[in-house]
Amino acid sequence: MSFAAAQAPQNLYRLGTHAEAEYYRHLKSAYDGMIVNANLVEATPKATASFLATQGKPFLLDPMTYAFGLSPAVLHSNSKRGGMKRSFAALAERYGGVILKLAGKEAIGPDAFQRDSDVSDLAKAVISYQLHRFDDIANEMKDAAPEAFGGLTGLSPAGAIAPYFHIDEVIEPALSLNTRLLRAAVSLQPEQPIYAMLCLSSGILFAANLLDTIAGAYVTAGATGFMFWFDDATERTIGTLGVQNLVRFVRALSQNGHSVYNAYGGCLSALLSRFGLCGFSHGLGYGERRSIVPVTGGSVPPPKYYVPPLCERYNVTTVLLIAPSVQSGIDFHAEICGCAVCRRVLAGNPDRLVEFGRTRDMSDKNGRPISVPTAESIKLCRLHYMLAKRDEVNRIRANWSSAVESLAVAYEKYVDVLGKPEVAHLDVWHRELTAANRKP
Amino acid sequence: MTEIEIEEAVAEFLSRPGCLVERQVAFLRKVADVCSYDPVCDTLLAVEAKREDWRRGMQQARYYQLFADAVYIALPECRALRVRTPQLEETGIGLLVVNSTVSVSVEHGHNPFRRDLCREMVIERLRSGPRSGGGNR
Repeated sequence: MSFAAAQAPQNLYRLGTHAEAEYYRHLKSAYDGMIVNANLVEATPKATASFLATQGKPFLLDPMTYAFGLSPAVLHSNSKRGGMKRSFAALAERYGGVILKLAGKEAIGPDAFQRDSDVSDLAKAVISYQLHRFDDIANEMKDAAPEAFGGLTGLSPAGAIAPYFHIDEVIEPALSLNTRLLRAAVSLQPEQPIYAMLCLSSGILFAANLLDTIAGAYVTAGATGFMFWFDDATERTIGTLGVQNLVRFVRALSQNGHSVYNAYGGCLSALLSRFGLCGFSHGLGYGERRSIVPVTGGSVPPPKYYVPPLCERYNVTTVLLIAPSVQSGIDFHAEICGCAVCRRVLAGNPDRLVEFGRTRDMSDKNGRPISVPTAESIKLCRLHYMLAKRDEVNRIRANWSSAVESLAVAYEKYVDVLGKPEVAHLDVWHRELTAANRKP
Repeated sequence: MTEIEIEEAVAEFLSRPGCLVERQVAFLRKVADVCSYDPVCDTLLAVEAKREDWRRGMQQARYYQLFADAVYIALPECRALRVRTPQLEETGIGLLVVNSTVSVSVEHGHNPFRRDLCREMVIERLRSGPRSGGGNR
């Protein structure tokens, strides 16, 4: 199954935990595809395979090779057992070669790839892993659970991502290693498309010359497409230069028909579809940005309510404060969100937005009272997020110019209520995207 | 004067026979320092106690406007002198001055942000008593 079938911008989700699977099952129409980290596959192979088989959506596996290039400490388990996290140890076993030899002992960098065969062996192992891992799982399930085996036959990703490592502002020799790995992966000539993951320090986003160098090196390497990931970069705070450079980067990478995706993005990425971005991925109400450390995401952040006109998530109390004029369900659905979840929960009364923020009392480890979100409020925030994101993407698909104009409208409307720092991104995006659209 | 001492003084000031007064009242992941509900007058008050930063106090107090009929910030007398009264008046938030006693320095104004359901939630919480897990701070 290919990503190419869906119209840009494609709305892709990253499966964070299997507790999220029920949302994807429930709202299949709310997304276009999925990305699953290879360490999650190794941690829960059968559950992941079964989930993907039932979804019928195109998916990619992120091989997560960059994690082996970081300090070994970030891969260490916090459990009593110690050592490397089991999922990464299992990945290292499957990737073999340099990774198996050095994982958990040192940060694997360009120096570790002395011979050309070190590069080609890793490329071969990582591509083969992505294309055939589910065949192995299906075979295991064939014996253990034959009733579940049927759906797994032929479960295959929409492509494979070449092995990749993080590139910092110095760019070399990491850039050369990454493009060598990419070329080696392309030379295997699998039937499925090969993608490159460009895992970059966020400082690179503000250096046009570095972006040009990187794009130039990648576009000639033979990949079908690219995913970029600027470490911990937040669309809302990258400012004028960040937006200008993102447009420039997307244009450079997408030349010659390459597919380009933002591995961790949100509304701005969706709007970059005008300039060649095919899609973006994110988590379920979080993960519109991601830091390279920690490699496993940590705890899922507390739920917030996604406010479509502001392209940002807020506590429910803030949402109620910004809209004192909203006195009816009709007002709310016109001004803030008209998704099915909001309509059902509000039932005509905007005060009922509190249901998205309900808490229950608990004690922390010192016995002090704390309030934590109820299971129901978490569920509502997530379902609303999925529907609001789907609607956002559909609005951009239907009329990009109108979607960009609505940023300016929202800025004017909320700047006095929330203050400039909270809404400045809307003004910046509107100005820069409008300007970029005038320049070919 | 610590924030806890300010809270205690305000809670005592708001205590009347039949009134429900509680400190550290949770509301949608925010916590109001002191709340009081008078069932006879059907009036819900909320107070944010601050040692010095009245602007920050005002930011916090704005959230209480979602549920309270009247909202105040409470400051020690020496800090209360620095408060820009017009800014407070613009938001409808009042000012309590705390020293050996508590007095109303700026009366609360109109609150356009109050939501009936939010108000009901907090009144219900006050009626059900202090939070479990340690009670009042």
